[in-house]
Amino acid sequence: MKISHTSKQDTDLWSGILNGDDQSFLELYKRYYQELYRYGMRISGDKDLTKDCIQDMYSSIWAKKDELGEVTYVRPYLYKYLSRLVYNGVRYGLKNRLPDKNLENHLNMVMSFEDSLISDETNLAQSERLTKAISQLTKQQKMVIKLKFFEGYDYEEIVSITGLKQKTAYNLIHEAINSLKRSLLVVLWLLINF
Amino acid sequence: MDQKVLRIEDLIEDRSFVSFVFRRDEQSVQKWLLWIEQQPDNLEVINEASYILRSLYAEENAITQTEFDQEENRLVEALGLKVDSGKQIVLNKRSPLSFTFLGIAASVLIALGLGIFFNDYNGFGEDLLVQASKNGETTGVTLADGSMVILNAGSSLKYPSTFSAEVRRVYLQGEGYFDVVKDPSKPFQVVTNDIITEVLGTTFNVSAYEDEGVQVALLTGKVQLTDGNGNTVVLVQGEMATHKNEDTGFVKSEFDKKVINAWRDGDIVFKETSLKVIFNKLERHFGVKIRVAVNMDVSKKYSGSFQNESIEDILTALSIADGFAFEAKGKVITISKP
Repeated sequence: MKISHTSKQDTDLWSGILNGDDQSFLELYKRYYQELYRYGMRISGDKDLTKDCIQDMYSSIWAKKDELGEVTYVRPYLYKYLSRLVYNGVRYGLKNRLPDKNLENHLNMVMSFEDSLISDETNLAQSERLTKAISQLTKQQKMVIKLKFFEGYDYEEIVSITGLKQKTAYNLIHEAINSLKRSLLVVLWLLINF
Repeated sequence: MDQKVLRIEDLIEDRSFVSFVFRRDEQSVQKWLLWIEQQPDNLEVINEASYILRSLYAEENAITQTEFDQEENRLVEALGLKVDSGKQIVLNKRSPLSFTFLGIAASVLIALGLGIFFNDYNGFGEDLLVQASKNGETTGVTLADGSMVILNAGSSLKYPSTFSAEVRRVYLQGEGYFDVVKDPSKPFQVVTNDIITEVLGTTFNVSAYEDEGVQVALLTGKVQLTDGNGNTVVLVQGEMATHKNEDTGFVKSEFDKKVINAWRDGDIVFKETSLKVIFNKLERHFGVKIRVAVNMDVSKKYSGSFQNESIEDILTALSIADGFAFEAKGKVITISKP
């Protein structure tokens, strides 16, 4: 099990926060913002929601610092806290669009999948594994992915923008997705076996 | 969609699924939520595909330094925290498009279609400043050497607060107009995707919106281009280089000034759209600035579809429909009711 080498410092920061120290609070905020933001985005795909949830989370921590106790592992604590807020945000956002009350149950099922991957310190590793797998994608793969999924171009348009053959573009995308899928599979296996 | 078992390969190729994942439209969201209910066996593959797509999106949209600063300020203000008033970097903004810039001979035009994906220069821990413009906005910044950059809508520039001893290098995502101060001892480089454009002279036009990949057309002076593979080319006045990918490298040719100045090829389509929005679209698409006279009614709606047409032709068509007059001076177009 990998224990974060900064966990001692995290607990110092946390003690500082409980004592009302502004600097400890802001230091903690800075330290994990980037990865928490990434995590919120993975769950929701929504920038504003993620920013607001992180804001709410830290505001609540600061507002309730007199009531909070010590936390041994701050980082997964923050992840868990944030995931609750973000899921509620997504659920709320979809609530009005669900034609049938029963769908709410299935929404819960969809979300608990991701939740289960981040239930404690060990599983944060999966987040890192996926991040690593993404960083290993080639520039061409990333470019075609961006054009297809984020800019909404179809293959014909991608061909004219990049000069690649359609088959090449298709393969680039699918190879990338498969390599990411494999990084997730490893973790699912670990979850089952531990 | 009536298939019993879906695979990830099929899901990601389905546009409505991608729309569902990113909640882009009602129809897709409801369609897929309904489908999940009816086909619970496919829940896991749907979750997998969703998570992968959103993770890719998250990497592409990592928080920028500017956004983080804004959020930190928001929190500090909301909670009334005391901040270490150390280094607060104030960006030196130029007033939006004062228009004198575009007449200057030493102007350099750079346009980018595709941006920097997963760039290593996210701003965190780096000594780079970020200037970004929102959609529909242009914003400017002055660099340490006095060079000025005007960013078109939805673009960003990463630059150091002071340049290094050997080179002046900035990173561009989106579209930018550069007014580069001449300094032969320190070349000025703009990094866009994998292409480094080094300014040796004064006036050139770089476009990555063309169908043929990246194109650089040199109006005056001299430019050297390098791609990620080490392919390199030097252009002199009147020459043009096209870059499709790192295998084929650069291809030199002569260029037709009119075609280059028409900027991007591509379709412009609008349906029952107000003139205001149409003009914004044209600004964004062609990299021009459109100034509208006060007596114009920009709420009037029009529909149109243009394929590979120049901005002049599009405006001509619109002017016939709406009865306005327009005048183009370089990249600035003035529209008025006669």
